Amino acid sequence: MILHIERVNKTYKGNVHALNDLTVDVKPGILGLLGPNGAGKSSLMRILATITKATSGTVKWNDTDISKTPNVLREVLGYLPQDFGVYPNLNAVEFLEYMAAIKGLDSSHSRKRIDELLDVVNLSDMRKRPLGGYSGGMRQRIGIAQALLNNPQLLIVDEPTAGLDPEERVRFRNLLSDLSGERIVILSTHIVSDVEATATEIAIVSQGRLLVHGSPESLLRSVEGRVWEWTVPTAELPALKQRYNISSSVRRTDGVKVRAVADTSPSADAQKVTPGLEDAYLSVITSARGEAA
Amino acid sequence: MSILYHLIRADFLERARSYGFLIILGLAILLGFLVNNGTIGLTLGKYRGEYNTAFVGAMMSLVATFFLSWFGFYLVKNAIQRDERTGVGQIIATTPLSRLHYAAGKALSNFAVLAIMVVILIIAAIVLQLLSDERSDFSLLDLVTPFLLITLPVLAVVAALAVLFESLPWLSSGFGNVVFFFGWVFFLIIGDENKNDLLDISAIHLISKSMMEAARHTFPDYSGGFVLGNTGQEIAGTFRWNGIAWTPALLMIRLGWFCVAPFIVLIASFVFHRFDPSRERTLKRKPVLSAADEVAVLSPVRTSEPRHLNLTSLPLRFRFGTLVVAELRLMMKGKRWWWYAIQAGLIVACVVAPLQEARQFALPFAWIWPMMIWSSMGTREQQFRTDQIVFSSPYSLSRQLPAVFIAGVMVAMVAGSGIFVRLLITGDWPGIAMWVVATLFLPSFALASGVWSGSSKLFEVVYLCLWYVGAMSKTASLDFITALGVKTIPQLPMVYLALSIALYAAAHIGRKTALSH
Repeated sequence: MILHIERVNKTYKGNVHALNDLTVDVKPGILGLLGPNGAGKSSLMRILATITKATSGTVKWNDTDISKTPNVLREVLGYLPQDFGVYPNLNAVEFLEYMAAIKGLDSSHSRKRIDELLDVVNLSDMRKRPLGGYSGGMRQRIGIAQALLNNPQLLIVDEPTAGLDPEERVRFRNLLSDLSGERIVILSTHIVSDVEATATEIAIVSQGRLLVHGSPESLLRSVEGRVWEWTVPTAELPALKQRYNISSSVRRTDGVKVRAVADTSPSADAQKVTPGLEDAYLSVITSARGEAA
Repeated sequence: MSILYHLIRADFLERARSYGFLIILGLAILLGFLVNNGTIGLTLGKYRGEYNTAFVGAMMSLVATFFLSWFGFYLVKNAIQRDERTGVGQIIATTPLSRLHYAAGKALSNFAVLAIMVVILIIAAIVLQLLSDERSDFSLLDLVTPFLLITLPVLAVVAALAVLFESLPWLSSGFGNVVFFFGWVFFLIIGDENKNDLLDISAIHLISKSMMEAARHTFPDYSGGFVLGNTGQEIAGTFRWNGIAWTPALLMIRLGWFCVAPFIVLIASFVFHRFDPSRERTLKRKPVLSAADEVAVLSPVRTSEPRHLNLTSLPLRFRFGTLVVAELRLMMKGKRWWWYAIQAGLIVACVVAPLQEARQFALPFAWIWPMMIWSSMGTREQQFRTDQIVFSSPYSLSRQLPAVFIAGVMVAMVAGSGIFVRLLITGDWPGIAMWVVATLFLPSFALASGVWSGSSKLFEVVYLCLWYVGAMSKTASLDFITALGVKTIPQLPMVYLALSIALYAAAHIGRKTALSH
């Protein structure tokens, strides 16, 4: 099982380049696709979900070109778009039955799968309520349930935690972890903590280009020994932000505790600390911006 | 005033830069062309007026008044809906902008869009006048005055009505489109029917009375008749008509309609929901589940290792019938008991009424009642933003699209079943053939309209026109419903069958094009 993305470009009207020569191979596990807003993540997701086609380049699912024969992938695809709606007059069971029919699933067995999925996404008690009355978090859970109906080999979730409260976000991460195994899960987000908790591989994209692709560990190793923490007077913070790549700043009684990525110690009292994925992400994005400038 | 200006400007630019606006502009140009080449005209029996500036101005302004007010309503009745859909409304709701300012801004923007089309028709009138061999002295004032005093006041009312309809939950949907269609045609002719200048919003009574006098003066044998459209009759002669003598009283009446528009806007501002979700679509909206409901189903946040999810095996085994039933259920879901009761009543009426009356009246109503079920075909996925989910499913083009079509056919068959039984009993085979073709034509037309326009409105408006002109006004070539015209045009079923096939093919191509981008 492999998803092979090779030199994919996507150009929209007005010569807007969303993806530039993006190449990556994705194997079973959870791929966290990180990038700032407008990096091209959703364009890539839509191409992989066969909603749109690449302007050039190929995407192959187990050696099958999905732009030519998309149905080969669609039969094993689960897709949760970033922005999707539901039919407000249907209840959860009716909506999932409709989606099961659309996906061509055996209707005599689909009810059992629907019951299982409603249990998985904790909506069993709400199964008979019309979807029009669901909150954002509950709709998102219905979204993931429909994506799992066909027990997909490729599950694509685009910004799934946007708009969810912290508790719902953690629940969603747990669910994604449970779903890993013998399937490919692609989780697109700009929230690093979502990926940190779940991803077995990470790809960082910016301005339509793939900057990094590897394991979280390798990404963390790239900033090993380069993450510093120290406390500065509040008034010095603006100047510091100009000079260093600050990944966090926390107010204290004695000033502001800052955390930054730098090759050498930024201050005499700066302490090396264990890097986090956010530090690594920021380092990659800032370096890319520096090169582009 | 500055806020109002920017509201109108932004709204107008947003529309003017849309693809749909270009199409409507094209239609306005086509309308002007049809008048110029004589396809649409103003005839009084076998006579018409000389093409002087007064007659051309009046004729073109009446065309503009009738066509632009009727169809222009559907063009502009989406200003508030657009703000709802784009989310801009939520932002506007947090600003100090008052309801009255907002409603007035939308009405003025609507008016600006309609006025652009009037300008196009004025240009067409000038071209017609300059090309005419019959023209005498060209007077721009004579030409433009009917547009200013007849068309623009009517369009101001229409622009305000569109805002009012959008502000009222029960009129903002397809039901409102139907109400306007019948209400407006009644309103346009009520002045003429009652010979009352005060109620004569379209000024048809005022102009017809004046032109008839001029026609009688020149042609004593003129016995009446005033048609805006195409009678196909040879013109036996022309008479000179110098226009309406605009007295202060007439001016007051015409300009008074401009004062009606702000009054309608004021009512709209009172009922406008100001994007409060708890007030939007109050007839349909289900209560959103409370936080307490949600908390009840939340499980504790887990910190342990993931438990790999094992779902039971579920093979792929596509069944077209299952999908058709699912589409049918989706179409019918949300309809209330009284909707079914009325539809059942119409079916029963088709069975028990005398056959001629059943075909002429009961069947047209039995097939207009489910109009909004058909009008959602091909556009439901966009409307409810399920398109990405549905269209990323396998074989959606070859499975889902025909399933929607078949479900639509089933609705048509059930709705028209009363007459089918009667036709079968009487052995009226041409009628049965037309009935079968109509059950194919209606959903294929709806599907193609939905797929290509992305909106339910196109089908609703065109179907209402066909229904009214064809079935109710007994225009045989357009009457695919009552099938009474089959006797005079035997090839009608074949024509509509070919149309149905072409429309389904158009829907297929439209959806395929959308999917391949």
